[in-house]
Amino acid sequence: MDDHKIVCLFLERNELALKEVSQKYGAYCHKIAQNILGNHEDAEECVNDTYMRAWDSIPPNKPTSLGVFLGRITKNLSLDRARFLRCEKRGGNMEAVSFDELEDFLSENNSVESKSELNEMLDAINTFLRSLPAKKRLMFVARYWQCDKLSEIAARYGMAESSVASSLSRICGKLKDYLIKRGFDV
Amino acid sequence: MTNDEWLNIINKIDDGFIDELVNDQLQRDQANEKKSPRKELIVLKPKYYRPDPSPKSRKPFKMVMIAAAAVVCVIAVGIFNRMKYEPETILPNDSTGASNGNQSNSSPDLQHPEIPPEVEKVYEIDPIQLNEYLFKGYDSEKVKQYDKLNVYECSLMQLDKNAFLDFFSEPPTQNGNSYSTDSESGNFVINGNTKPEEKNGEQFFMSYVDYRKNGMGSYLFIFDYFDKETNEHTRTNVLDFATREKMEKTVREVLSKFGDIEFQLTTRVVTSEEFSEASKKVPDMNWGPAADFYCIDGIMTVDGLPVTYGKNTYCDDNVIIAPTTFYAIYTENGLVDFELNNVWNVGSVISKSEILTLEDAEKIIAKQYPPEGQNPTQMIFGKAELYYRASYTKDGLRLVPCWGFYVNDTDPKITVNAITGEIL
Repeated sequence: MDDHKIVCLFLERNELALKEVSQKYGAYCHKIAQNILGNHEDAEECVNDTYMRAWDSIPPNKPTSLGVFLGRITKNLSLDRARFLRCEKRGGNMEAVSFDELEDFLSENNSVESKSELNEMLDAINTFLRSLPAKKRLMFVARYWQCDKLSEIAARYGMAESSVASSLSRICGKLKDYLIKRGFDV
Repeated sequence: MTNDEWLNIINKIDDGFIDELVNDQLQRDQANEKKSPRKELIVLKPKYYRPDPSPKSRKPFKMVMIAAAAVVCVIAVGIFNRMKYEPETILPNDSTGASNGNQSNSSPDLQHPEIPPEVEKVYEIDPIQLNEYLFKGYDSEKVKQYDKLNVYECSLMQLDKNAFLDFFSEPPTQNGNSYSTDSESGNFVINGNTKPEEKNGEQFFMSYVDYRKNGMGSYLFIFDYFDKETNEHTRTNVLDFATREKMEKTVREVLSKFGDIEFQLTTRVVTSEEFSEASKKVPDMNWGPAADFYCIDGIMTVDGLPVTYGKNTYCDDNVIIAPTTFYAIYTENGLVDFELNNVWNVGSVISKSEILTLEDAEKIIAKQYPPEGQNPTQMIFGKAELYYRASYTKDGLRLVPCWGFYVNDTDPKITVNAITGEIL
């Protein structure tokens, strides 16, 4: 069933919407949650919460891309849960997700201070991503938005894992140069 | 930048990028499901849908085999099974030509159609907002200022003596959506955004019209639950209550109310038995009474070429670009379901020049595909089609002619810009 019809079902308060969403996007949402939480049960719980959140928010929302809508809900719920779990279990505010290949890119010293700076940087990153070839953009989003493992990306695009890692590293290097040229302190 | 800040920023990247990834994954999942060991060979079998304002006159013209003949014979069986229901509107060039799409009937001597030496290549398109300004296109400047275009007045349009197409109008709700059911009759539902939709702090522009006489349980859902491909390619019967001509005339009259837009219509006949059978698949759905009916869907065309958009695309102003599509159900009670999505208006021709021939496009694909790092190709193309693709450029929205190579009948797997030769 296409997204538009599923959204119609939500708007009609027809519970078939949940079945259709589960069928079409269940695996996708679970993958995002699993990537972040690393635990099947927690991921399953997050996905169920995603459905309920979608049920509560459509209407009034009427998403044009259900995949994006659900993906964003799942990711936010998963990140919240990961932070909560890590705080609870380890007693510290550890990062929910981290990426080894971003070692050169990220730093604790140069922090983005204001919200406006953050938004400007987001605009710049969006522009940079638009300029990338489709495949590289997909790899980037899969890794850093969807938090896919390198091995998963490698399998999907028929590449060696090391090639994916070096490719992503080069993209991040270019992104860093791009941001520095535009006056961002990264 | 700290890791948290990085996560925070990346979490907010444009929806378009995520949508691209979701679609890519869904397509790969579907492809993997269909994949069989026999398809692990290179077999390009494009056929050309000749652009013509009359969809009945489209003709295939050529089959290209790259694999060895013996291998092709084996593959052809699989392809036949996949493509045995060829659209009835596609006629083989041989004079005996049963149009059942049987691959064994396809001759390698099928003639190359005459590619127009010069085509009107790039159009400008403007969106139409479905409110008071129903039939007026907006230029790009106005689109950029669409916030100022909100009006909250009803416009009422009579469709037939029994029903009205009414754009629900009210002060915008918190997030800008408005939709409702006709409270008096309860017969049909009208949806319309009178204000750009707010989502995640960003605004989106979209439009659609939804008209139903039968309440919320829509006949249109039948599209997902009966074998429409089989139906389309094998069914030619006419229903007693209306000829196809009469039905199409009614549909086109309604469509004409939305401006000067050409549509390529596909009509299917659904019997009450098929309807009942399909409805069993989803028992929870309020399907309405079983009936014989015509099922019509359409896509916008320009000069006979279908206009598609690949995937949803987002331009700088967050205007959603999506295909102008149309669905309708026609029963003995007339038009009972009607849905028109994403209405666009075609503007002026920007430039003219020759386009790449199908052979040129094939050569480009053969040379550049699969991309470096991917496995040797597993692509089997069912057909090739020349169509217009909407693209957002720095100068605005443009319709660009493209060659689409299809693995199945729905989405082009590889698209070649028919002007530049770029693989999109």
